[in-house]
Amino acid sequence: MNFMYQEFLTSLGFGNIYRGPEAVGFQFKFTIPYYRGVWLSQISGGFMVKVDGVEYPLDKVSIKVQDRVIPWSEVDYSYDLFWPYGSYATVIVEKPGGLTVGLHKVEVGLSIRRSYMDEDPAVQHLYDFGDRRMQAPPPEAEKGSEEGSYNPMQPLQTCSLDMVLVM
Amino acid sequence: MNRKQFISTAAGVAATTVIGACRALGNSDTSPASADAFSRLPAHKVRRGVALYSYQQAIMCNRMTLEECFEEMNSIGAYGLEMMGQATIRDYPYPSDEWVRDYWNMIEKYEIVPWTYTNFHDKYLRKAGMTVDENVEYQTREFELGKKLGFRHFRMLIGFPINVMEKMIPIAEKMGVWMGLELHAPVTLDSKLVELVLGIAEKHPEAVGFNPDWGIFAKYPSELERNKQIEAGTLTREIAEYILDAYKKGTNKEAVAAQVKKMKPKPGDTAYIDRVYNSGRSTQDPKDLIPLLPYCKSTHGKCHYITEGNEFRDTEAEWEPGLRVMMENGYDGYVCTEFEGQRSYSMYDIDELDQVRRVQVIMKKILGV
Repeated sequence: MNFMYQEFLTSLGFGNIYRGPEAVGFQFKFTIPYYRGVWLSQISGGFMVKVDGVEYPLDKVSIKVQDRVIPWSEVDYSYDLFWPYGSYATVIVEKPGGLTVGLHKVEVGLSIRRSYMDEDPAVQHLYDFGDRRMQAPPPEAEKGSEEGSYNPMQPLQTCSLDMVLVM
Repeated sequence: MNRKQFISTAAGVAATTVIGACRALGNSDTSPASADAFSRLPAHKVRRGVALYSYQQAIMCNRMTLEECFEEMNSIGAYGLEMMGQATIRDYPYPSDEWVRDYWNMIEKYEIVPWTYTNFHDKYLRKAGMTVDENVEYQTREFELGKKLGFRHFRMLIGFPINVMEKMIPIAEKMGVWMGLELHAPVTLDSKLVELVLGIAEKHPEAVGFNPDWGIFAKYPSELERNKQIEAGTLTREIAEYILDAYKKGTNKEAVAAQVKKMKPKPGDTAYIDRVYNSGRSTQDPKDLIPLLPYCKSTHGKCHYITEGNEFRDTEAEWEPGLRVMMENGYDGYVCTEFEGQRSYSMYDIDELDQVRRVQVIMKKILGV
């Protein structure tokens, strides 16, 4: 098993976020499940945050990379913000009251828009790959859904980790 | 000219080769000027290097610093460096002057030759797509960054848009950099893509060419994968060995399937027939690389599993035919090892450093240097 791609969550920094005495949300961190860093805009195709089986809408989610906090709606425009290889991205979720002290099952999923191949079938034709295409388009394809065309979007890469929240 | 610059030249390769050959022969005259020594020169200019991708998990887990990567390369005599900017450069794409200075100090200290910059051209940076001008701007910055770190060769990942490549030619020519289109399996050497890029390379050989990936010569499945399945109990050793052996002998698949059926197979055993018989479907003949070699300045030595113990055998491909083609047809550049076997498992299952060393032994035995 490749732990880099499958075990990318960490308990480091998992906790509630307070504004004054009130918890207004929670945060957790993960490293990139890939072999290089990417621009933050490259993950705009899909994202999922689930805690104890409850999925949070993306308008409540922000991502912090290199000390910049980016609301999910602006991730696609963050093509000047690089998420370095091996460094943490922090997921910040708005949730009045935060999470309770104790054990939580945290799940995250993301999809990295990669740079291989080409989504244009006219260009793909050049490669003569025949039936040996590098990847079949995933079902959640947003582009290149014509049969047999390459899609740069990957299916969500997910990870889950039981984490203990202290405060 | 310091040693690093010297050994990156053909003369440097010749000199170090002579010294090595003389040592092996017990000859105390190691002067490259010696006519006797020159008569023993290998006629080739193929050199060994490492792509840092090979050490990806050790780097990710902070077990290996960039300096330690260079130290390791130095200690195995693989001086050619292939590096992925987006995995290696701190504060990519705008490293600090201090980082760049430290980098050059390490390059000097360990006699490393920056050879190939692995260039991810992120053409899908924006969901809405990018204009050609935006692509050109992105790529120009990569050239500037790579050049700052001493790289003149850029390995363009397969999928780099050809219309952008054409736009980059005058910029590359002006900057003195070269774009080598990655030839990655399952691309074939007679594909329309190769034909198209060859036409461009013939007109602009200083700016455009090919960067073959050794994976195009792979013929067999990695034995690591087989061993892991045997350990997990999903594959029977005797059956797996029979299938691979029969495949290597050229036995037809139907006959093998019929025989396996008689061996009380598990589902994994039956599935392994397809795995083996599909593993060579896009294998290329190294001889077909000959017409492209004048346009190849960098080669990516992909491997997944070299046998353990004191046997040095790549379980997927034979190195000798490919290296001989390069040695005998004037390839002038590095073959940078890209060990990728950890990706299917982890560095706890297979040691990245050990595997790179093993494939370097294979190369050294054939190259003589």
